[in-house]
Amino acid sequence: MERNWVKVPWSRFIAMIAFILFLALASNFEWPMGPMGLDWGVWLVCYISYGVLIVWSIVHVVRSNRGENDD
Amino acid sequence: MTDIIGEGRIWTSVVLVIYMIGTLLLGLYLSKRNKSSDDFFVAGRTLGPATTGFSYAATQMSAGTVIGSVGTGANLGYNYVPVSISSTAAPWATFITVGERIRKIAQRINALTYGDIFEKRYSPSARLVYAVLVVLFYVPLLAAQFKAAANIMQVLIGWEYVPALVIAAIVTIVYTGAAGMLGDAYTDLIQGFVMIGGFLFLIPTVLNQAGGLSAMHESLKAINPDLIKLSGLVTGMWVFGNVVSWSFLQIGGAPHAVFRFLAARNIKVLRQALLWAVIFQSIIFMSVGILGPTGRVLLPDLKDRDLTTPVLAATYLHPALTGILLSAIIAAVMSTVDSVLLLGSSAVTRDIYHRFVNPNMTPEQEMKIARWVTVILGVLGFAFAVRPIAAVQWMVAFSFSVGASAFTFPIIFTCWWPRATGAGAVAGMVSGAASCLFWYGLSWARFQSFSTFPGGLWPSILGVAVSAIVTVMVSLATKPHPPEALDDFYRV
Repeated sequence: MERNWVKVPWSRFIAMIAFILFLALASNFEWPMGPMGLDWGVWLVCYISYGVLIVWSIVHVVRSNRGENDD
Repeated sequence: MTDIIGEGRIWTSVVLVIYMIGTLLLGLYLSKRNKSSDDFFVAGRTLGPATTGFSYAATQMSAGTVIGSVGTGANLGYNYVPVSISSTAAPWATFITVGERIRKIAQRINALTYGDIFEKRYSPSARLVYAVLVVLFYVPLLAAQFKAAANIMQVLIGWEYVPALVIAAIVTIVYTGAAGMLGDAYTDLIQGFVMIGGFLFLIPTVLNQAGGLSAMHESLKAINPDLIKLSGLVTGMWVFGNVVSWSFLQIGGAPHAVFRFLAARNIKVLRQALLWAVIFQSIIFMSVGILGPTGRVLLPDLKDRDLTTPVLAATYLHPALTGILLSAIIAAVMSTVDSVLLLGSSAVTRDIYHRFVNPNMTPEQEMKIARWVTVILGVLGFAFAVRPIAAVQWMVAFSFSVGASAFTFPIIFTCWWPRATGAGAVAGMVSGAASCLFWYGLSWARFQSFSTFPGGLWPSILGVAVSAIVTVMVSLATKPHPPEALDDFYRV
């Protein structure tokens, strides 16, 4: 009998690995100076990281409220 | 002894005592809603989005966040930003990879602990190995956290060590023993708001003192130009080890936090909880990111930078507001202690005693025993905190790394890999924990240090890699579990 089993959500694992690599590799660059006396690396890491985390979480809730992927 | 708060200690002590009494009363009130082990261990699976999210986040943060991270931020400036952000990513990484699936599986097989899940998915031996590792490496954390709470009260408001320890232990043991996961989760919720409130008072005040963000950055640059950059003071390997540990490895390394996935009302609630957890952690870690560098500027002569947060509060806030911040620091400790207590209690009561000694217990009897085990573990933690012995301190140092090494991949495979077998999971847990401890031993032999490692390779990263490889190889070499036994785990 064919079983309807889950598929590994590779996109989520890849997103997490990319996130980790982004944070780790960003520290290896010499960034040019940016606004408010900070280098651009600090701004980029803050905006992209917090942006990804918050937007991903909001999208997750919105999709859930539409009833997608519920048990 | 001389304390940091000084003249304002009466105000601060009053606020702290009110907070402690409030927490205690809430726990006693919620205890009436506990009727069986389902209620005690997973709050009858009734937790809502904010409670689940805040509870996860408050548990994941400890004294190390409010004290240690700010101190590291003061030392490293903005070099610490990626590591700080990785802690915010912990709920995201754990929720999206295993959280939803674990909640679904727990509902289907009526699991109250990870031990229940491991036994049903793998084997009774897997449950036993899990429980023994929890007892050996997480219960000693209680002593360390009690000690941290007492030290904070001692240094900040001049309370004697032992009375401070007694108060912290009694409050936490009583509300956790009485109300279980319900008390744990709701006090975490309040503790979360107290932490946010404490930081929201402090941040604008100290930034104003430093002349605003731009002026603070100029002052920081004058101390050391590398402090306002993303790199220069740390190595890439150090950042990588920290980022992996504080995000991905929390799956296995913080079982006391991910344990509450089992208590969410349903999957939809768990998804909403993710948003709450991320917002909470973002506020706290953005605050940590600002407080560290600002503290470096405002307190250039401070010798122990771990005291940055309390000294900033004592210097620039009204004593009553300092009391709120101090309560926030104690809250961070207590929210970790209550969760470790509950984790230890569930491992001893359900995964060892109920399963292997007295299988005929009713859920009501199990709850009563769990309450007593909670008290006994709490008293043991207190006793070790009064006079910490070296072995306990080592266990604490190793706990996260051993848990991450042993549990991360067996948990991931429980959710996503039907070919994993009981023998594979047991071999993976044992080899992961053993290789992690071996690496610590090698580090000690070569550098007389548990924080400098050969080749810069962290024991948790080595352990988790060994665990993954061994689990896969042994699983492929042993007979697969029959598909009908796996249906609850992998059915869509």
